[in-house]
Amino acid sequence: MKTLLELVAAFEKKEGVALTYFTGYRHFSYTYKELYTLACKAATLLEKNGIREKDCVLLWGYNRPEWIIMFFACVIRGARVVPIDTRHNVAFVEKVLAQTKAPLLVTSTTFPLPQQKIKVEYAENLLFSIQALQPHPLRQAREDTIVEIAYTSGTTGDPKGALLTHKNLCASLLSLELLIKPHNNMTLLSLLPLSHIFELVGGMLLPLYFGARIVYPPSLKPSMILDCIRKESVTALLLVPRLLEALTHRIQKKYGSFFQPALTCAALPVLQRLFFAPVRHLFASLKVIVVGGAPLDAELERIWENMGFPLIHGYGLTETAALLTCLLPDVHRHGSVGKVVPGVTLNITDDGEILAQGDNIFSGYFKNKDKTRDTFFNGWFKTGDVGEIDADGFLFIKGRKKDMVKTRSGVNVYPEDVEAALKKQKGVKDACVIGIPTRQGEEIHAVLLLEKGNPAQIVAAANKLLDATQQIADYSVWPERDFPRTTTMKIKKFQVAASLQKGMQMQPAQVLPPVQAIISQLTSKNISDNARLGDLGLSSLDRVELASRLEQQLLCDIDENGLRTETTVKEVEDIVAREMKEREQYIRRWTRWRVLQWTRVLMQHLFFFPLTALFCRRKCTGEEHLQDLQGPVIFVVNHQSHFDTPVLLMSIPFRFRARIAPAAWQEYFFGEQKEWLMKLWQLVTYNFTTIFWNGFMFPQTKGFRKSLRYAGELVDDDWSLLVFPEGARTTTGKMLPFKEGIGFLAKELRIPIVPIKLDGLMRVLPAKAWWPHRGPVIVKIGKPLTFTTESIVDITRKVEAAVQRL
Amino acid sequence: MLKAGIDLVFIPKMQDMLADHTFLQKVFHEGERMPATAEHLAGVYAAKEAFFKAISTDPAWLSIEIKKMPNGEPCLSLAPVFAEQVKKASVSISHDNDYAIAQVILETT
Repeated sequence: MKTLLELVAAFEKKEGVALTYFTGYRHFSYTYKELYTLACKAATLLEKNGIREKDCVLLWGYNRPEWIIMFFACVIRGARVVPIDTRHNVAFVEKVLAQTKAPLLVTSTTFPLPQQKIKVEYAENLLFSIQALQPHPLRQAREDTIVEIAYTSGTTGDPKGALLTHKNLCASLLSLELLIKPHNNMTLLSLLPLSHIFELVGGMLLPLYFGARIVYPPSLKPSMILDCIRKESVTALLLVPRLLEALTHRIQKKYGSFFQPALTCAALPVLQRLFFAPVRHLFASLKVIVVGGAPLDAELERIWENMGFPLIHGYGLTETAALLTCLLPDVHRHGSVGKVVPGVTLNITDDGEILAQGDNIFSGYFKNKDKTRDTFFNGWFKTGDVGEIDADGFLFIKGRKKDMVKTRSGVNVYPEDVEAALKKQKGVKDACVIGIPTRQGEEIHAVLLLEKGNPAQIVAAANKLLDATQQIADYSVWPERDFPRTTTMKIKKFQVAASLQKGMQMQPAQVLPPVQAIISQLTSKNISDNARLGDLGLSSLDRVELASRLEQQLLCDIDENGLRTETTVKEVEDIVAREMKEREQYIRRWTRWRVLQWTRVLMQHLFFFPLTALFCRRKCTGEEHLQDLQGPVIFVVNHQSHFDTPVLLMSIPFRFRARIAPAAWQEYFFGEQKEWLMKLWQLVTYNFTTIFWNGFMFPQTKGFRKSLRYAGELVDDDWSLLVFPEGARTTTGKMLPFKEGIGFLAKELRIPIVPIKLDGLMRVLPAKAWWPHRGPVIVKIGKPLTFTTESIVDITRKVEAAVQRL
Repeated sequence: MLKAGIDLVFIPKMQDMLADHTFLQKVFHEGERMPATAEHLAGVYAAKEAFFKAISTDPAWLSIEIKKMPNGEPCLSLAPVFAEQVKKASVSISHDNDYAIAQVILETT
């Protein structure tokens, strides 16, 4: 394979699913054929936007199919992809934009836009925008055509863009193919950002080359990752050491009672295997785990080896289109980063720097002849790392030539950038930023030479100037008059680091309970239990932000309306405590079991429907609208009586009737009730609704997202939904306004909405009455509605109007 | 009955919050996030806050949408739940330097 175009062309013939994407509510899959068509159509979109060969296209967003589609669209069109890490801020994007003069930015609606005028395409709308376009033809490409410009440095200095050609990426792919053999049903879980070369080559190009399936999880929470591995039968993982560590901690927490004894049995492998059995069961499908991006801790490696999952570990740089060397289970030496990969040769200079040569090495930096020249030495690429190669060809890395800090998430941070931000603060005479080695990569540590001022505030202020990848994790104040320096006045960093290690006097950080710690991020005033949010200086916007941070950092759903000006800190703590206790207690998945489903259908037809027919003289119109309708849909109906659900079910085709879940108003069944009789009634009706009708709880006011997620699960499993958007039954006969729940459902689930209007049921069984009267009932079925980019408000209004009109 | 609401937002504060994607998705519709600049979003936020002050209820951010009319003027699109109370609604937004301000006037039944 000489160019990536050959890879794209191959998609057209491949069978099976290429990408599976979890939005957080539903999952959507794209086959290879669909990926091919969408990429070709997106290339036409580029053409329409005036993108020509060699034009740059910025991709700034989270991993999702649209990212990949745009990547290949650029390949097809001959444009250059410029991926930007989501953790970078908009100032970085502006710098890159100024350098590349890119005419198009592909991003998400939640990202800020750069100041320069530029065309923007939003990932959320991409699929809708390209639906009607014609596919772009595949043309020839040359090996040395630039596919990607990968930016690798900090923000205050000028970013350097490494130019990667078809030849570089293909060479990398082909050498990886020899090391990582494809297996049946290969399914890779994508955990790293696609803007990182490691993920791009190992987690996107390679699986697609193998015809594997790539799964994008809805979040990177370790519990979610473990869940995903099991549910999707994931066979391959690509991670950075930090993520592997987080997973290991999660596993230790979950299987604590097995884990510790297992670790102590290191000497008895048979016994150890036994103890690790439950963990191995969890990962039954896993065949390959590849770790890269930062140094791997030997102990962590051993734990996974003992669990029965030997890791593949690689070393490389962005400039080498991923791997230079690779450590395999059967080609292994502890402490080394492995032997050279096929197609690459290494050399060591006199002062120990590692040099490399090969087809995968980049051709230079974008518009930066000086830096390019400095990076090559007689045709060899200078890695900037110092190391040695032993007699058997294993490479050992000693350290880094430059003083770059490699953080735990695999990002390179230049100390000069961080130091510059610190030096801008008042009271700072000088600053020295070093990397403190932890078990995985390094932590950014600032050592300050202060004239005056509060170091905590200074560091916080500097952090505001830096982007998410450069945050200073910790700081110290240098106790002497000046830093140790060389004769040319450069700070002797290794000496500063050594002094730190020996133990310097540092201010102990104030440890606050979690909620108070989060509140203190938003105010500089003193926090006490009775302090009111308004008195602490929090504006309404601050309170919305507080709710958001509490949600993110403490992982709970907060109704921010509970946070007002007069709410005290203690009350906030109480709210959080309450939210964290609530679980998915109301969701009953077992009502979907086949046995129960068929029993239910039988009971409905033998008993409930005839009972309903006794009282309702039913007449139905509009059935033709449902004739050819496919797949799960949402039936939207106005609400008049308790007979609504059976009447409706009797009026729709069997294929929908047998697989439907009505949404039930959660507050009706779980609202606060004082009398025991009412509590009993709630229990009875809850069981009646869930078992006999497969109802699922849908709250009107809060706790929305969990129900929305369950609704997504239902739809993914091919169940239709029945929703009464008014919420309550009408007492006047006039339709009540539709609540926005239906808007959310329509937008997230992306299935057709069938509007249905009921008439007459109010006379048969009014809301307050206990006994029904026989009477005529009319069921009007409307034309199904589909939505694309409309907002929730628009959708709710349109759906309401559609039902109203019938 | 006529009801009014007004709100003032410090734009640099909104700038700080732009990095929080959860916040953006919670408070703003997709159409309102184009463009996702601090200045624009500060104005939209102020308009929403002003509306909820006027109608005297707790904010349900996604139940209203600030849209732009062809001539560039902002207008309010309300979810059906407000249809009963609000007969007419009008909004106006302004920016100056570090501040954005919005005013909402409602005619209610």
